[in-house]
Formats: sequence, C-alpha cells, structure tokens
Amino acid sequence: MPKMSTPAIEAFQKKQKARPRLAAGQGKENAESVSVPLWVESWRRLVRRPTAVLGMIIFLALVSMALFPSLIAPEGYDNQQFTRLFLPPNGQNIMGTDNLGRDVFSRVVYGASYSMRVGFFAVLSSCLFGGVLGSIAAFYGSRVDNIIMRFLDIILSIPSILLAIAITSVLGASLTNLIIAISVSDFPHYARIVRASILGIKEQEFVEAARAIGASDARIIFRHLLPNAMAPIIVQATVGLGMSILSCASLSFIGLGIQPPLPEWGTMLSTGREYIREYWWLVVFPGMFIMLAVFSVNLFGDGLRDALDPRLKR
Amino acid sequence: MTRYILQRLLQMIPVLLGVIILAFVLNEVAPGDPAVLLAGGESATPEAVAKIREELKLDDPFIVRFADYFKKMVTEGNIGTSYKTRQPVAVEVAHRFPQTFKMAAISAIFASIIGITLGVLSAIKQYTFLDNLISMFSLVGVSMPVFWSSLLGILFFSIHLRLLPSSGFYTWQHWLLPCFVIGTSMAASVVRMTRSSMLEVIRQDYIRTARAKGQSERVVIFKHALKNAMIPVVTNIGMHFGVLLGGAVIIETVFVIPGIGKYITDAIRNRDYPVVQGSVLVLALVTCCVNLGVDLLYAMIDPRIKSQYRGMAKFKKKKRGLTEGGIR
Repeated sequence: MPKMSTPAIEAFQKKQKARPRLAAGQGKENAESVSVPLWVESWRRLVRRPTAVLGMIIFLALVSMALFPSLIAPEGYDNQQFTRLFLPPNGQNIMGTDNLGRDVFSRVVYGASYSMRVGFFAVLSSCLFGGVLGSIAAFYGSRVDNIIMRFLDIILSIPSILLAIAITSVLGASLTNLIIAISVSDFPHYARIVRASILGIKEQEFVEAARAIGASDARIIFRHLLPNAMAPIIVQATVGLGMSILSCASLSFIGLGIQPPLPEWGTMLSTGREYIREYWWLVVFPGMFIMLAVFSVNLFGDGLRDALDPRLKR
Repeated sequence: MTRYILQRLLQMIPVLLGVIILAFVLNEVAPGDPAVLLAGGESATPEAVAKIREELKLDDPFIVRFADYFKKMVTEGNIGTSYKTRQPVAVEVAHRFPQTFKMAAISAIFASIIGITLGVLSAIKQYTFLDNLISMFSLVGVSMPVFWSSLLGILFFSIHLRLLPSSGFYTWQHWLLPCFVIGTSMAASVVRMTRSSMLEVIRQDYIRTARAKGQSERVVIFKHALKNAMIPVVTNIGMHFGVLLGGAVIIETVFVIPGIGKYITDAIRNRDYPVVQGSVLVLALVTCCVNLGVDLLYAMIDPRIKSQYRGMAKFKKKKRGLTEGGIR
C-alpha cells in the first residue's frame, strides 16, 4: 500500500525537521516548569538561599527546645539550690544561676515553649479571624466592606501594644489571655492584606466560572479566592510570628503576661532587671534568646518573601 | 488640598467615636471595683466604699454614665478626671505629652538620618561586603527587643562606663540613651525599607536615562532615585513615629520617663478608668493626625500625588459646574 502523503502532513513533517533540537537541560527545565506546582518551585528557590536556610535551622533548633525541653535542659526550670545563688557562667551552669539558685540555661530552654506557643497560636488565630473578615470585606464590597474597614480603623488607631496591655489587664494575666490579646491587636493587619489580595483577583475568570457552575459564596471564598491569595498571607504570618514572640516577651516584661516562677523569657528579663548592676547574665541570656527567635523568623521570612515574589518567577 | 484635609478630618470622627465606645466598654468589663481600690483596698469599710460609689456615680447604669461622659467631653472639653489624683486627665496628658513627643521626635530624626544614609549606601553597593554587613546589622536591629537593648545600654553606658544616667528625662544626658536605643531600632527598619525601595527605583528606565545624559552619580542617586524611593520610607518612619507617640510604654517603664505611655500603664494597674479612657482617646487622635500628616507629606515629596489632589478638586468643580449649568 502506497504511503499516504497529503500536502498538510508533508508540511508538518518539514516543520518538525526544521525545528531546532532542545538542549538536554533546557528540555528538562521546560518540562519542569509545566509540571511542577508553584509551591514546590518556591520551596526550591527558598532552600537555595543560605540566609533563609540558616534562619530555618535556628528556628527548628528553638522549636525542638520548645517541644522536648527535658531532653535538652540539664535540670528542671524550678530546681532551686540555695548553695549556688548568683553563680556567674561556669562549666556546670553555662549561663550561670539566678537569685534562687536555678540554672539559667535550663530556664531559657523551658522558656522557649511559652514564646513559641504564644507566637504560633496568636498568628494562627489572627490569620483565621483576619482572613475571614478581610475576604468578606473584599468579596461583598460596598457597605459591608465599608463597615468592616472602619471597624478595623478603630482598632488600628490604638497602638497595638497598648491595646494588648489593656486587654490583658481586663482579662487577667495568663497564657490563653496573652494569645487573645496579641491576636486581637494583630488581626487587622491580616484582614487588610487578605482584603487587598482578594480585591486583586476577585474579578478574574475563574471566580466567574465558579459562580457560573453554582458555587456558594462561602465555597468561592474558601476554595477559590483564599488559596489564590495565600502568598502574601504566608509572608505576613512569618513576620507576624516574630512580632508575636516580641509582644509576648514585652507583656511578660511589664508583668502582664506569663507570671513567675514560669520561665518565660520576658518574665526572666523582668526579674533579672532588678539585679542588673551586679549580675549581668540574668539580663543578657534571656534577651539573647528572644532576639535569636525573632532573628531566625525574620531571616526565614525574608527568604520566603523573595521565593514567593511573582516577579522572580520564570 | 484644603478640601482633602477637611474631608480626612471629618472621616476621623466615626473612628474616634468608636475608640471612645471601645475604651468605655473595655473598662466596664474590667475586673475589680475602683471604689474599693480608692477606699483603700480590701480592708475598706462598706460605708466608705458606698460613699465613693455615690460620689463618682458608679451605681448609675452604663448608658447614663456614657452619655454623661460624652456630654462633658463635647461641651466642656473634659475627657475625664483621675480617680486617684483627682486631676483632670487633659491637664495631666498635656503635661506629659511633650516628654513623649520629644523622645519620639529626636529618635525619629536620628533614625531617619542614619537609616536613609545606610539604606542608600547599601542599595548602591548591592551584594558587596558593605551591603551584606549593613543588611545583617539591620536585621539584627529589627529583631532586638527594645527593652533588652535598653537594658544592655544601661549595662554598658551607665553601669560599666558610668557615662550616662540610667533613668529620668531631665537633661540632654538623660534622653541620650533612650533616644539612641529607640533610634537604632527604628533606623534598622528604615535601612531595610530604604534599601529595598531604592533597589526597585534604581532599575527603572529614567535612572538609565539620567545616567545616559551624563548626570553625575551623586545627582542620579540623590535627586532622581532617592526622591522616588521615599514614599515607602516616609510611610515607615511615620508609622514608627505614631507608634512611639503612644506605644513607647516599655521604654518609658525601663528608663522611668514621665511620659504618656507610663501614665497609661500606671492607670491600667491602678484601675483608674477615666485616665485610661481619656489618654487612649488622645492617643487615637494623635495616631490619626500622624497618618494624615504622612499622607500630606506624600504630596510634598511626589508631585504626581499633589496633582492628583488638585485634579480631584478641579474634577469636582467641573462636575458641579456642569450640573448647575444643566439645571439652569
């Protein structure tokens, strides 16, 4: 049987022959850019940044301190020994001992769990609450948007630390109340960011398509809009984690957060402040750990922002 | 422009009204009875407590007390009287606010000078050793809790070197340390903002044009680039300044500065409700004014924004003229 040869097929075969062959790497790259999801691509970009990796390592070390303090700390946080009051850093107690003869390093290790817990839950709740409010404001627009935004303006016009102080003083000093206070003073920032990113995408065709197939408002917001507005929320949440850790330490420092004898870093600083003239180590080490925690989160956040930046995409 | 300012001032009214209600409700749900506190704590006799409750009208319903407070504020400009000192809150705030303002202003000026200079330097020397050094230092500065750096400052300058006093706010030696500490922390944030904003501007075509027409590098950087990179930097400085005016609570506590932040925290601890309400209201007003000031500064820096304001006014005039013409 003679081979079928129409002009169209001939033209196609000619074109195929004339097409330049792709270099091995290039082809692979192209294939990857099609099949690899955005998150995997961003993750790869993130781990290529040494500063972000450093931030991640320090942060993971602190998280493991928070999760398994008894494995890392040489003693319990409330092990008082009156024979060793105010010992300077030495071979046995690497960060010295405090006014009740407790090992400062062990207390710092146990302290990580308070800062991390407050930071994590404060960010989670303000993200959720702010995210829902922000997306409702952006999605429904006009009057709903106006009412929600004016409400946020009221909260934003009171300095956040002051609002947190007022709330903790009303509710009383405890871990849960600290989380509530920090979330209430922080959630407007998340709401604003979510609103801005949803305003940018809500007119796009995929939203129209979802509406056309009869999706409910809630489904459009939670399944279609929010996942597409995730990148700025994640970056804000990382920065927010650092800020929440700082707020937790600040409130404890002025006596409105975690109460002694629990070893929260801000509380330890507040106690150490009374002895600053003679015993510097009571002030230097707890503060250093607060800084380390915020520093690692910031390093990671910077890397994450660059990795998720759409302008850097191929 | 005047119209825009008036419009913004009018928009502040509902926000301030919300703040008044919020502060009132927050104090209402706060635990502890101020009458018991004023009568001398738990050991107070019920008669004394009842007398104080009667005197301060604490037994009136919430809405009556709120209406009374609001009426006094609007008609007499009275934002409350302290339970503890029996002094008008407005007088006390007016007395303390200059201290806080002085500290915030000096710190902001210090931070702007250091922050913008280092930020520009870091951007024009991108990826060099100097840039990495400045970036690292600014990141550490942003991560340092201010109360810790204050304590380190006291440890080094007051205790170790015995150069500066560790508390109070009377002479220039007293405010040097707090302003340096706040200024450095604020500068760290300004450096980061200036660097990223400058890097974005430096890549624009008009900078290439400026260089191509033979402008000196100094003119290109300071006249063409920096001026265009200033908007986010000004926002950042303005935001910090606003926070400092009201939220320098921790610094004022550490350095025992008789400012407005310390006044409020002391009042919260003493359950002095009127002081908390009054000062929070003043602070909200200050925050709104700082935000307005920042927006007006934009117009000074960026002629495009200025022309937008003018354009808005012209457009409205034109529109009004057209409708009026139509009616005739």
